[in-house]
This record gives sequence, structure tokens and C-alpha cells, in this order.
Amino acid sequence: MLLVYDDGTPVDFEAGQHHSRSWDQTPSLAQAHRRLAENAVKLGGGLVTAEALEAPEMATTLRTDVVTDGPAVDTVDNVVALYVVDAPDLDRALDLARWCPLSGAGSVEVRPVRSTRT
Amino acid sequence: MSGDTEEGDRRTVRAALDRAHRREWGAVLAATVRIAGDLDLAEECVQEAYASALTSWTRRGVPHSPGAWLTTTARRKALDAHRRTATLQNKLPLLVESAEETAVNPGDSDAPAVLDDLLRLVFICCHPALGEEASVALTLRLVCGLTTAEIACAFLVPEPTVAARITRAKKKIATARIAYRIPATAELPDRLDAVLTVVHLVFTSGHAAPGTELLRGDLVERALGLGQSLRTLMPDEPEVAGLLGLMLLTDSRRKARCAVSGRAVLLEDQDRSLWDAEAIAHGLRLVEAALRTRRLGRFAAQAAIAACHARAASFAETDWEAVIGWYTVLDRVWPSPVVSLNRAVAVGMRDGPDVALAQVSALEADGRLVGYRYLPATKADLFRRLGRIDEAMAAYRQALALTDNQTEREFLLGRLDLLSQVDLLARMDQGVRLDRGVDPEIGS
Repeated sequence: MLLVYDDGTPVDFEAGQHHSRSWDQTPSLAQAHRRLAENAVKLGGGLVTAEALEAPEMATTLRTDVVTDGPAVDTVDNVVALYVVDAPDLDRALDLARWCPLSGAGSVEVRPVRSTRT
Repeated sequence: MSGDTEEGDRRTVRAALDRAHRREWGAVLAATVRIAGDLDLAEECVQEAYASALTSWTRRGVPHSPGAWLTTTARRKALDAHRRTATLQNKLPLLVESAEETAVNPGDSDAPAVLDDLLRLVFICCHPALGEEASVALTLRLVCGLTTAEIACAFLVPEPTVAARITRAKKKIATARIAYRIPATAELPDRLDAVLTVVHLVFTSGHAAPGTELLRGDLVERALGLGQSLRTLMPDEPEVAGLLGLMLLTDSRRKARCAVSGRAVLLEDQDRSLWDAEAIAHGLRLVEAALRTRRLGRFAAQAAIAACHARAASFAETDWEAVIGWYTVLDRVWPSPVVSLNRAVAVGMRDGPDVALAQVSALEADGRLVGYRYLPATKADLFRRLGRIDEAMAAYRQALALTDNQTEREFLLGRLDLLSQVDLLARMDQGVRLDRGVDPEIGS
């Protein structure tokens, strides 16, 4: 699972900047997203899920049955998108993470999906 | 057979076993991991192999190649373990690539394959996803064969802390699927840097605490051993040569660094005849090899600085121009305010303390070194050399407040004590000179 965190600066998906050094030029976020998908397929796994989320202010949190406005954790960086990819190992997953569309100073958390195998 | 020869045989076996433990642990484990597919199982099998070596070698004599014997035995034990139980399914499997290669071939001691496995083991232990502390512990345990207790003792950390770090790291390797693989060319620079950082950390942990603790000296030996292995495994990597050169040149001063009292001796005051000439010659050859590649990294640049000191017959004859030049290079390949601070000290040696003081004050003003104890310590020394005693004493006190290392505290207190005496003298006689230098090694 690739969790994309960003500071919530509004970005234009078609014109946004991408800061990963995987890039030799600065493509749009949409291009980054497409490259990620292509590379995931090349690894033999592919993209299982890819979703961009609405702004954290749009979130609603349920905690011990109390409903509140806003995200569960109030931090500068919030989850703005998530990808579920099928990668053979951590290094390959990190290769994909380098293509995650980011607006600026954001980060990508790579977290294994818990195996259901017993 | 008389009792005496039996006793002698046992001693020979013990010595051979100790040597094999020191030199071959990592290689034996690395080759076993491939069969075991699990770090814990591999470790168990290697431990058992060393245990059975004691009885077998006592009975039949030490084999021609102890490492190959241990590898074959440990790999057989791993295979047996797989045949005996179905534990593999319950354990977290390690990601070993190309399963067809793992067919066991007893007596197989194919040299390049063994080296490649050792390299895989080093790279998995030092994966940046593990964090430096965990990598250090894991490397010492798996590559060097140190016990958890020995690691805890060497780093002055409670044993359960080290045990927890190792357990967590192994679990992360399996859960996050860190592959048992030599990194591809594109990822090699970053991954290699992580490995070198870990080895350097082992070295500085042993080196930074001068004095009596034997286990700390052992860390230096382990770091040098790791450096030498890496040099054999990757003879074309300039940074590997640079790190080994840096460690050899730094360690060549070991005997001169520590006074009989146990106190640290500054580079300036060291008796250079105590320096290890053989280590220096080896270190200088490595620095030259690294510089010839023209692919300069931070370790090669640091080694080049150490080489300037090693080449100087006395402190006064140090080529400060060259030292400053290499600090400039270092600052370019590895920008850091600490490097700038060290460069300022070298500039002070060439152009005088007032020039250095201006640079240090500028560094202080930019705020990145707040709380860094070598900044006030450096300032204090420059003030002292300029005869500005009150300011020097204030800066020494500032440094003292930031230091909890006992040896360094003693040094700073000694300087303060000296200054207060000099201060008294100076009040009586304005002619007292304070022209002793700053340790250019400080903070490096």
C-alpha cells in the first residue's frame, strides 16, 4: 500500500509539479500517475487500487460514537491519495513510490498489506 | 594417546574454531540463509554447526577449509530442519530470489557465489528501511557473529533493548519483504552509502571513546574487518576504498591518542612516532586508489583529509592549504555545517585565529549548529589563541553545558582551569602568550 501524504496545497492535477528524482523533467501529476500504473504492470503485478481523496477538511471522524468534523489526526500532512500495488519486494515497491504524484514537499509511506494467509 | 596431547589437540581445535568464528561467521551464515529462507533458522543452524565442529574436529582433526566445512554442515542442518518439520509455513519467509539456485551441493565452496551471498547479507542488514541503530546491531550479530550481550556491552545499551531491535528488524525484513539481493546499479550508490554509514558508525562508536574498554577496541577491529571484506567484495567502488582508508588512517593514531592517564591527546600534541606506519602506508594506498577514480564521495574526501595529517612529519608541517582544499571538496559532495566548522578551523591554522573566528561566528549566526557542542568549543579555542580570555572562558563553559561525555568534560574543565591560571598570570604580566592551537580533528 502506498499512502501519499501532502500538506494540502491545492494543485492542478494536469499542471502540478513532481519532485521525485526519477524524473528528468517536471511532468504533470497526471503523467506521474500514468507512469506509476505502467511500471506497476511491468513488475507483473499492476495497480490494484488507486484513489485520490478530497481535502482533509471534508473528512468526518467517528471516535467512541461521537461524530466530529475534520480528519482523525490533525497534522500538517494528510493522506491525499492511496495506491494498492502488487510488488514483489520492498525495493520494487519503493521504485513505484518514487512515481507517486506529489505536489511538493509531500511524502509516500510504503506499508505492507497484511497477509490473510495463515 | 596421552592426556597432554589430547589437551593440546583440544586447544588447537578451540583456536581454529575461534578463528573461524571471527573470520567466517558472516560467510557461513550468508550461504545458509539461502537454504533456510529465514534468518532465525539460518542463525540456529550456524550455531549448531559451530557446536558440532567442536566435537567433530576434536575427533577427526581440523578440516583443511574450516569455513567450507561449517557452511556445508550448517546448510545440511537447514535442509534437515525443512524436511523434519513444516515450520516454514508458520515462519515469516525471507525473500530469497531464484529458488532453483538453492539446490544444496555439499562441499560446494564456489568462491564468487559465497562472496555474493555475503554481500547480500550485508545489504539486507543495512537496508535504509531498517534504521541505523537496528542496522548496526543486525550487522554485528549476523555478519560479525557477535552475541546480543556483546553488542549491548559495546554500545552501553541494555541487552533487552538490543534484543528487541534485532527481533524487530528481522520481523520487518520478512513483513516488508526486503529482498536478499545485491542492489541493481541504479540503486547501488544510495544502498552502498547506507552500508558504509553503518560500518563507519561501528568504527566511530569504538574510536570515539578512547581508553581502556576492550570491547570498544573490538568494535574498531570489527569495523576494519567489515571494511576489508567490502573492499574485497567491491574492489571498484571508490567510497569503499575511501572508508577503509579513512578508518585505517584514523586508527593508525590509536596509541598516540590516549595518554597514560587515559585522557585524550589532541592531534597537535600527539607523539607521531607512536603512529602505526604500516596502517598509514595501507591507508594512503587506499586513498590514492579512491582519488584515481575521480568519482569523489564523502568518505574518500574525509580520507584525503586524514591523509594530509598522516603525511605531515609534525603538526607544524601540516599542509593546511591541502586540508582546506579537501574540506571544500567535502562540503561540495556532502554539505554540512559541521564540515564548514572544521574547514574554518583549518583556515584558522593557515590564516590565523581572527579569520577563523569570523567564519565560525557567521556559522553560529545561521543557527543550524545550535546545541552543537563543538561550536562553542572551537570558538573558545580561537578566543584563547587571540588572548581574549574572558570570552574564551565563557565559550568553554557553554561547551561544557552541552557535553556529557566524561573524557571531553575533563578536557574542557582542564582548559578552563588552565585559563583561569593564565588569566591570573596575565593580570600580573601582560606578556603571557596563548598560542596553542585548536584540534583540527575535533568534531570530525
